[in-house]
Amino acid sequence: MSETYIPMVLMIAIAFGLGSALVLLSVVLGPKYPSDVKDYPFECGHLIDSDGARKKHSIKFYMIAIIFLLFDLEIVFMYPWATVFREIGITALFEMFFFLGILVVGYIYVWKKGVLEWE
Amino acid sequence: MMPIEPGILEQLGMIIPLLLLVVFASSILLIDVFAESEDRAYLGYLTAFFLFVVLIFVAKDFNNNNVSRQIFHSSIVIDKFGLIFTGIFIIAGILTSLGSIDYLKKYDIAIGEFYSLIMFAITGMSLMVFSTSLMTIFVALELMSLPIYALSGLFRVNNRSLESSVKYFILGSVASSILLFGMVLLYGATGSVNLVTIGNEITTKYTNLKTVLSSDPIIIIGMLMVFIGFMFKTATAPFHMWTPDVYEGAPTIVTGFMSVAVKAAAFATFLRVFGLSFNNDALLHLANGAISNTSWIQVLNILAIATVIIGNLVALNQRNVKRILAYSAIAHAGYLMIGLVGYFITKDPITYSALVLYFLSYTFTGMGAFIAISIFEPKDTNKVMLDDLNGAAYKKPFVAATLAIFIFSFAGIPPMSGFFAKFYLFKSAYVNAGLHIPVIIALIASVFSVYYYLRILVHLYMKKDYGDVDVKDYKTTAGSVIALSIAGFFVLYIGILPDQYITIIKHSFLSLIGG
Repeated sequence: MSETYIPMVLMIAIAFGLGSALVLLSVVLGPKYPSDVKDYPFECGHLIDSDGARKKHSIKFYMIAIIFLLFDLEIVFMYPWATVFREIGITALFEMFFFLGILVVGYIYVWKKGVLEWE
Repeated sequence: MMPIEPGILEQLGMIIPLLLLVVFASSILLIDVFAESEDRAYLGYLTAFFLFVVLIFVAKDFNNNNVSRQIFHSSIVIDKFGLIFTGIFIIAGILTSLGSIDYLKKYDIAIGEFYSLIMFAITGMSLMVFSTSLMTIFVALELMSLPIYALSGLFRVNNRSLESSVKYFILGSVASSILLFGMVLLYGATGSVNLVTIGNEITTKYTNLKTVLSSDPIIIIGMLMVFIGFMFKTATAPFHMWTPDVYEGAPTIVTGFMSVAVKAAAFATFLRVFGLSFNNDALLHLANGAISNTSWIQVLNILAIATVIIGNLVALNQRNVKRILAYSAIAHAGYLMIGLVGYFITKDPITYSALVLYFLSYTFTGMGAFIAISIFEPKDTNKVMLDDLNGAAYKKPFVAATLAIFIFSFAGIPPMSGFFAKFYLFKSAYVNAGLHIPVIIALIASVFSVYYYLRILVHLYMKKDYGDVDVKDYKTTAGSVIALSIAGFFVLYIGILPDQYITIIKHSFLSLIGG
């Protein structure tokens, strides 16, 4: 019973060891050129400025992110659908059309609401 | 063994009401974005018309439906039980969309998505009562909940509305995840997501509670977690804490929809899940007379008593009308829970029809009361205190008269439907199911409830008007008048001539047993 887990333990040990060894090696051997820009905290979408975290910024960023998430998930549904498409047959095709139809309604709604216009 | 399913077209034909709801909800969304005019009132009438069309299809299916077969890989079953509840949700939706027109206009909210969200929520509710698979139940539950979270935050600039929305969303998500975890455990223990299969699995494996507990506690834990998930949605003590805050902060018309339709959906699904899956004698010791303290029937019984007491006693001290109605909604959840326990003990058509008739009566009463309160809501403060109602009856006699009908119905005073529904429910629970102590406690608590209900009427009719509320705030157009008339008419009609409704409801009884 417990022998079956040995490969898994080995796998974890190797992954952990390799990962930490590479990081340690680059710390020890790598060249270091520190600069102001490199020390900046990184945030996705906009530059950090001195006004602090309480500054308001554009809501458009979030809207685009949410819409991207929604339509990206559509693809996630299509992959498993494509793998079993042959076995299920024509029914699967109509099911996917129905699903896409609902998404198209959402897309038209988003478009007409003006979410996609940046300015 | 999986029964042979009908062809795909026939299956689609069976779910026409659900398909229509999706199509209509999407078209409302598109009409809203393509329409030029700023006025959105016509969308309310259009939604009511669409829902009425779906209601006709539901009624037609109800008349033709004789066999209930599981379709779509045993994930849903179209039966009379589900259809009768779909009818209840659609009625609540019609009243909401008609009643919302004036309310949204009062706050200058021209949002067409309101109607679309209401329809999507109804789709989720209907799908939930039809589903016989844990996965479908969860998806449908989320389809029901997400529009409601959004609707309770409809007043985006109002802090109370936002608080209500966020509170409901966070607590609701936690409850959903507990429910989901319970479903996972049940799936792990029985190897199936189908409710009937789970029920058969439990029945064949276990003959008494001791073997369940000693060999597979996962089933009990999973069952209790599913149980908690539904308790949250039905606002039963001790999972009722969110109710007053959410109901108070949400727009009044949405509160009405929440307290009526969401509760009915959660109760109906509860009935379906526990009726199909946990019907095993081992889990139902109380039913056989061998009283075991660990039976979930016993747990439900205690929670029902607690809910009735908490709802009614806390409401006594409230001065905010929406909070009074929120606590009254908790109390009614307690009465319904007693009816549910009665049904689980006897499983006969009488306790069943008492329970469903109570839902029907509560739909008209609750929606009507919230629509009337939404008309009396002062625009500037965005909340209704008892003093805001002072003398309002003399400014709006019709609305106040219908509100009086609904309040009497809530309190259970004849000849309103609330009286007969409550009487029938208590009688069947007392006589048929032998639930003596819960019914007596509920009766006493129900006497207390008359105090806070009549207090609303005292302020409406007998207090002196301070005259600081402008009559213009109480504007009513055809929509709310129609909604109030429909609700008032049916409250009286069900109260005076309930027998034909009971006959219809009894027709749907067999489908529940048939699975």
